[in-house]
Amino acid sequence: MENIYLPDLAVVDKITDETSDIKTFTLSFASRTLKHSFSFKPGQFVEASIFGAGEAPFGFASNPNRPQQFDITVRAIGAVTRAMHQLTPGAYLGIRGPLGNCFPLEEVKGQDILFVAGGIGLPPLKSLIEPMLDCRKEFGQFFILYGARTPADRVYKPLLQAWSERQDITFLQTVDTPDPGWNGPVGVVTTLFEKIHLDVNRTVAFTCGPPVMIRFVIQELLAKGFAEDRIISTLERYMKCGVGKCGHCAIGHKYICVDGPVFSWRQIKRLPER
Amino acid sequence: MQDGTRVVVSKQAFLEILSQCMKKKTVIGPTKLADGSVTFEPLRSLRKLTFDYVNDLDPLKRFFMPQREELFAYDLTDDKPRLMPPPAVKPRILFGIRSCDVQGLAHMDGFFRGAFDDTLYSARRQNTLIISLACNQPNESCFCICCNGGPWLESGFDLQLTDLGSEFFIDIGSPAGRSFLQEWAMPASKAQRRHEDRRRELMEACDRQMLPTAYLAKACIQITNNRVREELWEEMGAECFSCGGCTHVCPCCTCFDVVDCPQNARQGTRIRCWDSCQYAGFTREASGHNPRLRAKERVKRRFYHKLSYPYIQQDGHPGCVGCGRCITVCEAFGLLDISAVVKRLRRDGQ
Amino acid sequence: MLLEVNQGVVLASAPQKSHPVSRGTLCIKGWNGHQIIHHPRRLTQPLIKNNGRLAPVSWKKALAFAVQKIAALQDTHGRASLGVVGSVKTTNEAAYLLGRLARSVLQTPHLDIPVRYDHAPSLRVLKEQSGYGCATAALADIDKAGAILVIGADAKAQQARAGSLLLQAAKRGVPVVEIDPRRHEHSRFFRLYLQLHPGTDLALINGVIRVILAEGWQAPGITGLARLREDGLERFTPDYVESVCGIPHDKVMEAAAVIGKASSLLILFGSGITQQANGTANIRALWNLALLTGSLGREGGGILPLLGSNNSQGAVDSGLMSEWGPGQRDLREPAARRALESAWGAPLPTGPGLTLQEMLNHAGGAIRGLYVTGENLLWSAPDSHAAAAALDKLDFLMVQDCFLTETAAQADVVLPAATFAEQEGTYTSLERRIQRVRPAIAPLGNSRTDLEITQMLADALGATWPVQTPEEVFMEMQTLIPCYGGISWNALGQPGGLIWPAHKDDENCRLYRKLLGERQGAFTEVTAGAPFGEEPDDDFPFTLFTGRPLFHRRSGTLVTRSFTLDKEDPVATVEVNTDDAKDFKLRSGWTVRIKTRRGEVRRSVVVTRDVPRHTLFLPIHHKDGLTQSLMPSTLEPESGIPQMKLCAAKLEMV
Repeated sequence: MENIYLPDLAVVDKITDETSDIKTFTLSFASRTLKHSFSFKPGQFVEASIFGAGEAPFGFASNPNRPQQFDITVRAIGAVTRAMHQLTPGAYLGIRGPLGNCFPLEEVKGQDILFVAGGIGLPPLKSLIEPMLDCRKEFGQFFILYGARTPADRVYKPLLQAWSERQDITFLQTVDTPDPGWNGPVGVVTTLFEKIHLDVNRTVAFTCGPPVMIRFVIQELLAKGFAEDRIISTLERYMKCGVGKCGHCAIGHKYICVDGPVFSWRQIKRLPER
Repeated sequence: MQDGTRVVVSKQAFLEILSQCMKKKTVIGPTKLADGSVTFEPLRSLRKLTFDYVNDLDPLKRFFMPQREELFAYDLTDDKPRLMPPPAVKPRILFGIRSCDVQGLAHMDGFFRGAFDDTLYSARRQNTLIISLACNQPNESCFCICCNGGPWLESGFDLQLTDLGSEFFIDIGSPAGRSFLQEWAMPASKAQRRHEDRRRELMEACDRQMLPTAYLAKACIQITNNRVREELWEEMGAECFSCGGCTHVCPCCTCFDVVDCPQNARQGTRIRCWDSCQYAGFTREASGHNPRLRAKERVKRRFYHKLSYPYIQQDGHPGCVGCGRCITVCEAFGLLDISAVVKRLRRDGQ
Repeated sequence: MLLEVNQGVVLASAPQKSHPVSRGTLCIKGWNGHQIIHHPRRLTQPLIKNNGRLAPVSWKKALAFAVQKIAALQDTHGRASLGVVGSVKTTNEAAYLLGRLARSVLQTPHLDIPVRYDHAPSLRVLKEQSGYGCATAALADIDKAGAILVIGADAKAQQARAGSLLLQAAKRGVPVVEIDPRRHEHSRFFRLYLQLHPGTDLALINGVIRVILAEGWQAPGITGLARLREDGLERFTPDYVESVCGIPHDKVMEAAAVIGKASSLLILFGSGITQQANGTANIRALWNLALLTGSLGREGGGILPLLGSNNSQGAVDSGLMSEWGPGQRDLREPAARRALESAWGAPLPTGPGLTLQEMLNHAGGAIRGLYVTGENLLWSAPDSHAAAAALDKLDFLMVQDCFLTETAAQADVVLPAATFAEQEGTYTSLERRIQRVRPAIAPLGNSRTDLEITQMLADALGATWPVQTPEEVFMEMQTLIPCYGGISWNALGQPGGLIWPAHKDDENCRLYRKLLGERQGAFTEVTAGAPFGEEPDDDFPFTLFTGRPLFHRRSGTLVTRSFTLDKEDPVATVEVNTDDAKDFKLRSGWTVRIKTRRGEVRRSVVVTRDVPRHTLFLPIHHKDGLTQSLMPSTLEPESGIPQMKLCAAKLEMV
């Protein structure tokens, strides 16, 4: 039986600087078989190891349909992430995964889709947006709302550009504090709601971002009349083992790493703590 | 040896054979330390074995989930890191473990072998023969009868011994237990009616000596339905020392932290060590945000985990075996161990 | 505590049910402190600084180098140019030998310990009044007290056992009066909590004494009251106390009633009242209170300072405080000097010794070199920037520790010491309890026990000491420390050891009754006290005071190297009174800058009513700037303790 704490080795294929403290790592497994056989679902995560520094969880930030490689987007905020930012292409790290549950994709075909992302909440949603866009016609209206503190703090800038050029989706961005080059909306992401028209009975909303933002977004959505199970988010807690054993991420009797990180608002409401 | 799930062996013969076991296998059993406390350790000879104990304050879960355990070792000397699994566990016998701890193991089995099988725990479990010893006498803080934790159990052990005086009454709980008796040619005979009666007498006597200190039901209901006054949790939070003693000694507590321990720039190990939901750092996130900043939140969390219905349903039983260790280790003496909290919840608002 | 060892590795700690004090419990450090033992960055080799970098060398080389540097220093600048800082965490035997090394081999009068930073006034006053610099009561007295006064201490965070007994007493209905500028969560369990303005404790204590006398609540048969009355006690009227401390009349009366009418009063206190301009005066006032209520020498009564470290009392008994030799003998007394000189076979250095903070203040002047053991001065000394500058001015710095602390990183020579789990010896706790500690494993790598290091250093310096085991050292100590007499090494081996003085017919060893007989001690002078060290003004309008709530650390050496304890490191906060926050338009969670005349730090605001108006509470912290870098090192003249509890500060938005 394999040791569930023993990671597999992966190699850094490419590193993209997203902002001053955020990088995206494109990884592939060192083992040929695993490289070809590995698959994941949107919303899941991996535990990435820098041996000597530790291990930390990161959501998949790339299209599950893309073969052999996967991305994680990392902000340097602690010992492990800072060590990761020192890596160069060709470096090895440990990966355990895929872990956690996933976003509904098949189940929401035929619906209108709304994404509301804040700052570094965009990466996990990207793993759902991209496969959905691969089969765009399976969905109705498609909205992506993205808010960041400043224009420089936005991730995936080239992709955001591509999204704004698409005719088949509505992509709106806003920043809290603009810079001289910014001619877009200014304000928190909830201010973008007035620019779109939603049919709340046909729409499923996905939201990720800082806890304060999520709270306000969900408030707005409920005020508009969204049903509790049409609002999907992710819960975050300090996570260690990723497999439901160490107890750190437990809320109520749910373990975020096994029963989550994806939860509907109806499920979140029922938890004894938030 | 005759067939049957309950047998009797003379104590002398059993211990004689156990002593031979000690020479060939690792036998972990109770022994007295210089200061009079009793602890479980590998024993080399029968002389070290003691029966003068009810239980060890240091919980026996440490033989299955050590306070510090290597998950793997790593070596970064070459370009490609090498990862080495921890050394294999050798088979051993755990002798003299009490029913409450056996029940604790059943709880841990359910947890560690749940969604993902924790191979490290499983390896230790599979390589250990459990020969438990039911208690003829409780100590002042025992309440296993309130929690299905004893004084004797129907299952969970390989062999369960009850001391009848000059004989051990043995419940054979598994094929491994039966094999043990056969392998060592234990002179066992089928338990007769008088043995059964004597065992029942002893267990009922033990039962009667225990104060039913923890009627769990009402506390479970109140916690499940979130009907405990916030002021009571506030009071408990203000009493708690956040020492973590309760979680360390509880046979049903399993939380751990994972840490990399580099020996130098290239080599090291990743270990896990006991952690406690009673420590503030348990839920502190990298950003500094802490959902359980105050002791009140953590105490509430602990009792939710131990006694709420969703957990009981998930685990099959409450997170308590009535061993009473938390009563001894709690710095807020007599206030925050599970039997005290259950009583306070029960009486609150009466 | 029991330690679980497997193949030379300490895996775990477990509580000891048979121990009379812990009774099967451990605090958070007790459960997790063992994690430092096998920390990868344990110092396991001696180090010497070469071209600005520390490199490993053999013991022989390190000691030879140290001896050579010390000789050069002392030849050029005199014997007294070298200062020695002892540890409050190592064994008595190691401490005693270090004292001997410093005074009779290195021949320097400058020897001191970090007790100077928290309880120098306490032990000095207790010695001055009772003849012994130690607690008059034991922890067991908390259980038996008629009433308890807790002042300047967070008992629960500081000392779990004292806190636990205190909590139990309060729950049983024993009246507890707590005096502290900062309200604690557990203050709710006490009969009375008085939130006074920081630094005004003297007025409150004297105010309470005045009420007790005025109402006639003092214990019957107390003599010498005239002294109290004529010495200006009249000034401390309830109005005066209210104006100075901010405590209303009726509360002062209530406190006085509880304290005065108690059958036996136990006083617990901490560095909250010692690290001030009135440090010594505060303790003298507490002594008066204890005497007035007839609590000294009575079961459940007396004075119990909550000392800071595991061997604070032992280090003092062993002779490491500047003014006292072994047995707390005053080194100004010719008889005491002669006894030591005769025992140690060498003359003692003449001249007064500098205290710990004085050594730092004189770095580069009278002090050219320092030998620091077991203390991360750069994190524990007040006015950190000045402390760092002081170390920079030294010609020679030698540090002995288990880890490469910030202080050790500055050293010319670093000597690797073994941890608590690797040495044999005794510790003496805050209640005078002497206990043996046994090694669980041998010192790791090339580290040595503090005892061995001192013996090796003495040898390298040419002293001809006999080779002694810890037991033999203890026996030698007993000849110089009368109150350690009548105690056998074996007896110390049982759980709980023995409380000194160990007289067979007094089980509880309540110091006063047995040792002092008729000597009841006299009332001390009532003073108005010195003005508060640094009054707030227009530039610095707040009174800043510090503390160490649970999970916070003093010098961080142990805690930062235990992975579980280090995770507890909370966010660096500053507590601001709710009304002040309104005035400044501040919200909890905002980052602000706290500035004093000595430094500045950034902290996250916590708005609360737990601290008084016009004050700021800053936990001792190291992230985003050392809290200690803000605090003054001005000495309280009598005891040499820095007034590091309080100062004037300002708050700025970031």
